[in-house]
Amino acid sequence: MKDLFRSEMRTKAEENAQLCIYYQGQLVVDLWASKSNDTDFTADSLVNVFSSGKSLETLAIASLVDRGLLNYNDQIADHWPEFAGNGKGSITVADLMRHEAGLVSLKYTSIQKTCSKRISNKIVWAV
Amino acid sequence: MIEGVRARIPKDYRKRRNYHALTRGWVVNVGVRTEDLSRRAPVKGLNFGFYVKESFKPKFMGRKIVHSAMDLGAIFTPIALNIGKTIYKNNTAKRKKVNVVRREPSQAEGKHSGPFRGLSFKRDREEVVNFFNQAIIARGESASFNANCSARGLAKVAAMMAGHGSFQGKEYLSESAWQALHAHAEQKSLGGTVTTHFTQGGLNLFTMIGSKKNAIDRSLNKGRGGFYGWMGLGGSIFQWNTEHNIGFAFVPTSMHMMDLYNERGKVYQEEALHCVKSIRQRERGGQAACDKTVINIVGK
Repeated sequence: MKDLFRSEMRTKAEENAQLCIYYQGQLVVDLWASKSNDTDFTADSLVNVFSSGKSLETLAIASLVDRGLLNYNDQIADHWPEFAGNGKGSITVADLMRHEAGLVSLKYTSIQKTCSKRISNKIVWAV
Repeated sequence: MIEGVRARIPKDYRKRRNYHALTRGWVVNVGVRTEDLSRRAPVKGLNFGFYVKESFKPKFMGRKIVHSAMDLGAIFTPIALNIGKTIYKNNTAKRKKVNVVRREPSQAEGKHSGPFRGLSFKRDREEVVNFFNQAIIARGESASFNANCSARGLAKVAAMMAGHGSFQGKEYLSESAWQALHAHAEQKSLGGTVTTHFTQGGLNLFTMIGSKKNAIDRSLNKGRGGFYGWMGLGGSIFQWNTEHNIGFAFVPTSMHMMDLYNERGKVYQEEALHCVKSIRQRERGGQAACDKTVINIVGK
């Protein structure tokens, strides 16, 4: 794996990268590299992982389910009454988590009015 | 903003699976605030990142995993953009894949571009990346697109999830909650292009079973079969394999907009699966194709 990582750092257009793997609860791979010898980049450097954060969302919701505060079949409006406006009352937590709540695009939201069009476009484009 | 959504949501929204790139995180954020944070004493800076850390025990995390408003002084690593470079620049064996991903930018700028509409890759790319490199954005509460993490932190959480909610003998999520999170993986096309299998809890199960046998579905699923989770624009991967008990995280700072299915990191998933299968084969008395020491490497 180390050879593969080294090879990939050489042959693909990487700058800095971290790779970490656990097997059966044990740390087996813990690699990081900086092609430009950036001394500020370490195995613990924080990097924007964009949509990988979506799985952290699932953990947050799972912890609420675990504590009996929420169920996946609950309507979101059961917990956030204001959400029900404009025909969204029957959308469930599971609909949202499966990307099936119809909230796909910011054209359905008022973000275009809230932010400048250019800024909101930047956000959507980059995710 | 979510409350202000007009009644333009498709009536048959449940029949369609379209990527909620931003909005899912905002609604989850409100859910967390409503059901948990509102029950606590007010604390300045209390937010989603704090909740994730708190829920899964800071001691367990050991190292910083999620940047939040509680860590205002934390340093994050700026990302860089590599859209102009060839992803597989010196690897002729991978040339075929380049052709697949090269089609995407032109589609992205076309009339069916979806979220890419109105933006020019050539004109705006540096500006977009710099936008996300601002500290004020890193401190935001949009979990769907700006969690700042290390691979070490993510892999540790992934290991806990691969272990059914337990890590090194300690339970962080009950078996029933873990099962509910991974339950009811439903096959459906995401945005009409790629086959996904999202569970009710919001994890995608990567598998070729039920997927189309085309290049896009292979790019997404082949080589990471059995992994749950998702991935981030530009290359990051945060996934776990419950069958083989693998927790996996790959975090690059160099974003490749054309690597839409995060195949740079997928090579490590393939290798990990190959090694684990070889180890198990050897344990059963077969001939190992991969030495255990190959994956038992720790360090720079």
